[in-house]
This record gives sequence, structure tokens and C-alpha cells, in this order.
Amino acid sequence: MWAIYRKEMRAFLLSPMAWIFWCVFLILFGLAFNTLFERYNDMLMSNPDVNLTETVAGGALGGFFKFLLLLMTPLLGMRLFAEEKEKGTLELLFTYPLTEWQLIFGKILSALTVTGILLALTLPQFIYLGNYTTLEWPIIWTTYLGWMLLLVALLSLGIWTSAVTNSQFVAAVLSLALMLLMWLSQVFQPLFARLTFDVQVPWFWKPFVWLGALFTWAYKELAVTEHFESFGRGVINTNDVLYYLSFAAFFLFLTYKKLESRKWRG
Amino acid sequence: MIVVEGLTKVFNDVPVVKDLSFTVEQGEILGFLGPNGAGKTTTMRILTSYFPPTEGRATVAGFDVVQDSIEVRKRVGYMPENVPLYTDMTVRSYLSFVADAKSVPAREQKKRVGEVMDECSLSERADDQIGTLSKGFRQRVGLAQAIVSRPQVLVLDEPTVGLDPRQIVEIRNLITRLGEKNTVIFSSHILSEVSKVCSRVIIIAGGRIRAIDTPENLESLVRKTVQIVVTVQGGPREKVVETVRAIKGVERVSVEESEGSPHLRLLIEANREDEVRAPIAAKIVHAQWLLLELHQRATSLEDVFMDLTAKDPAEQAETTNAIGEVK
Repeated sequence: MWAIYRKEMRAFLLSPMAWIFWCVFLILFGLAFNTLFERYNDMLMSNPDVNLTETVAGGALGGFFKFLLLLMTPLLGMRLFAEEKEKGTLELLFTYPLTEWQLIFGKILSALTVTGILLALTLPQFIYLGNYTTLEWPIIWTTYLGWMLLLVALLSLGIWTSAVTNSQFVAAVLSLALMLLMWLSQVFQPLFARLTFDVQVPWFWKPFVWLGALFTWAYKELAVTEHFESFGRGVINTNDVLYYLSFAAFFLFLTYKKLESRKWRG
Repeated sequence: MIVVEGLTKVFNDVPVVKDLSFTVEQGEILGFLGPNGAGKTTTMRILTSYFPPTEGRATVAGFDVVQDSIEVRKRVGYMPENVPLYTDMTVRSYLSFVADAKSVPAREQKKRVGEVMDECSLSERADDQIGTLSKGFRQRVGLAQAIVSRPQVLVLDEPTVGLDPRQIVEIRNLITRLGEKNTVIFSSHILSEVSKVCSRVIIIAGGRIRAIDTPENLESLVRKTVQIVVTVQGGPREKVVETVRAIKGVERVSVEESEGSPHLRLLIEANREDEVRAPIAAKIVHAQWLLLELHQRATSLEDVFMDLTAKDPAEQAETTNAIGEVK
């Protein structure tokens, strides 16, 4: 597993991709951090009880990150398997003494490291701010934890899309589309709000309404960001942790099955 | 070292390899010969644990390719056809990665990569990106990655395909050298290559084994009979054929028809032991016909191959189909 991990890290670090990510991201993060701090100052005028940590940490790590990660994880995930399939090198890897799980974990860990380093690089801003005021560190830590969990989930989705296609581009588009669908769940909720199990309709419509309601319920429950909120308030909810881990496990298992399918498909 | 029993692989209900059985001894170089789509690559992929067989079993160094697949992979070095490589890595970093992935102990890796690059004459290009290398060098990188873990068994799929004659000789010499220590299976559809390097040859076509023997024995297999071509002028057709057929050692006589020609061209199959050329000439001359031509056709491994890989049309369609589906 570590051989694959080291190879992937090497590939990340030697290609300009990781560096561009880190630089652009940190510049944007710095700007967002500053803006949010200004906003906190403004809010303080009207409301002296406003929470600094929640506004700045929650705002910078919450709202701002969401958008960037939506763009970033498909780009990080797309090459993991699609590139190997494109070049044919996957065939060779399967004849090395490595199991499918070692391949999958080696690859996802490398992508997690790249994003993890990115998260770690945002920490100095908080430490710097902490010198001048008291921050509620638990909220910051749980937000980071939430991010790591969300990243595991999204990268698992990315690695799966990368395993099902030979083209990196298709992999990126597919995972971006799926993420958007889950991400925008909150936006779309009002559309389906009236579709519940107890809607009064003639009996022959019932099955359709139930199906629709089931879909609405699943759509709401599956929304990736919905489960993130509690972390931003300093709460570690077992439910949410389990949600992200099972989300990741599900897609990693699909990836495993896809890699294994060569055994009967050729 | 390698035992294969009743190996069958079916893709989408189409058998690509059917009931293959053979063994390879330690230190042997086995040639795997067959036309394209014969099932060579499929067999090799089973032996390298890439995928399991549908039926039958195969063991490498005593380990089952399905149950002990990791143990098998530790002992096998595989070089696929048109070696897929990470074109953005340098030769050295790529080979280090392979050594790492094949669990070569960390402190030996550097030394081992150096040795292997020397053996494959890659040292001067060690720090070049693989993408910038020529086909011949890439092929050597492919071979180097196969031997970097010092495997007991080497499986090489068409190692000389696409190389120029000088590079072919180089790779061939390298394989011969490797065969001194390792067990090697290598596939090819070029006969001369196999007969030069291998101690034993398997001829495979349509997913089935058509022959297993040493190159010499395979050649003598056809050499039991020789083909002689005779052209005669002036004799009545039936009479000439009858006369020739009566000679001891002649097994079959066929007439090559040519409309309107005054010549009679005969294709004679005769036993190698009996030298039939002299009696044929004598009889024809004795009958006062004109003997225009008499020569013996050369036979070679080429003939064995053509003979053994000739398939009936139904089977041909079946294999073509299988290849289409798999690719």
C-alpha cells in the first residue's frame, strides 16, 4: 500500500497541480478570512454577543470551503484510476503482489494527504488570530474534523468515478455532476416539500406519491452538506460521522467491485 | 515450476482458452506460439494471477494462481505486450517504484535498480523520462520491471514486437541469459525467434494446444514425409500417375491442374526414409517421357505451424468473435 501511496504522492508533488491548488487556495482563503473578520467587526457594532469563532471559522471553513472543495475533489480524484486505465498500467499493477484494497487505500490516502496539507496550511491564520483574542478552539477542531470526513466521502466518490471510466475528463465531470446533485439538495428541497407520504390523492396515485416521497426523503438524507452543519457548531454527532464513513465505505466498495470485475469480464 | 491442468477461460459465453494442460520445468525457456487471438495473452494473464480461470487450475512454484495469488505474484515477473509505462516518470524512479511495490527490501532497492539497469543496458538513460525513450528502450524498461524483484518465473508477452532486427537480437540474447537462471515463458508469433531461444514450444491456436515439443522434434514431425514436385511432358496423365504411385515410398500423388498446358505437374508426398527421387527420374526417362523438373520442397517449422494452426471456418469465426468481445 505504501508503495502506491509514495508513487501517488510523488506524482502529485512533481506535477504542478498540487502546487497550483495550494497557492490559489491559500490566497483565496486569506482573502475570505480577512473579509469575514471585517464582517465580524461590522456585526459587533449592532450585536455585542456575536461569536467570533463561529463567524470567522464557521464562515471561512464552512461556506468558502464548500465551494472550493466542490471544484477540487473531482480534479484530485479523476486521475487516480482513470489515468492508469488510460495508459494500461493498471494491468501491470494487478500482477504485482498488491491487493485491490491496497491499491485503493494507497491512492485515496495520497489524495487525502494533499487535501489534508491544504487544511493544515489554513491553521496558522487561526493561530495568528488566537494571539490577539480568545478563540473557541473546540469549534475549530470539530470543523476540521468535519472537513476531513467530508473529504473522505467526496474523494471516495471521486475515486469510484475514476475507476468506472478510462477518461479522466469523464471521471471529473461525472463526480462533479453527482456532487452538485447532492450539494444542491438544500436548494431543491422546497421543490419537493409538498411531496410527503400523507398527501391526499385518489388511490391510484398513491404508489407514485409514495415513490416520490421516498425519493424526497432519500434525497434530503443523502445530502452531503446537511450532515456538515453540526461540526461547524462544535458538535460531533455520531450520526453524521457514521453518515460520512458509510458514504465513503459504499463508494470504496463499489470501486473494489469495479476493479475486481476484470476477473470475470476480462 | 509451472503446472497447468485443464485451463479454460470463458468470456461472455465464448471460450477463449480451452482445456489447456502443460508443465514447465525450472530453468526452461518455453515458447508460446500461435497466431494473433489464439489465447496466448489470456493464458499468460491467468498465470500472472491477473484473472482466474473459468475452469481448471494452474500453480506457479507450488502456489495456486487463484488461492495464493499474492504468493504467485511475488514469484512472477510479467511483461505485457506493448509494455504500459508511466511516461512521466524517469527510468530510475519507475524501477524504484516497482521494486517497492514488489516488496524488495528498502535497503536493497537502490542497488537492485542499478543492477537491473545495467543488465538491460539502461544505465545511460537512467534519469530520462520514459516518455522520451524509443520503443527499444521502453521494451527494455518493461523487461527491467519484470526482473527487478528477481522472480523465479518470467512471463513475457511478445517481448520483441515492434523492434528493429538489431534490437530483436539484443532482447533475444537478454532472454537467453535470463533463462539460465529463471523459468521463462514467452509468447511470439514469429517462428524463427522461438526456435532460436526456446527449449520447448507450445503451439496454440483457437484456444487449444496443437502441439508441445522441442523445436527440433516439431520439425522432424513434418520431415517424416517430403514433398517432391515433378513436371513431365508427353505422357498420358493416368499412366504417369500410376507409374509414380507404384514406386516404393510414395504415399500420395496429386496432379496440379493447369488448363491447356502440355505439361503435367505432379505433387508427390513420399516417405523421407526412402529416397524416391532417383527411381522417379529413372521410371519417367525409361518410359521415354520428358522430365522437365524434379525438386524437393524444403520443410520447416513454418510448415508445422501452418499445419497445426489451420482451423475450420466455424472455429475461426468463434475465436474472432471472442476477441471482438474481449477487447
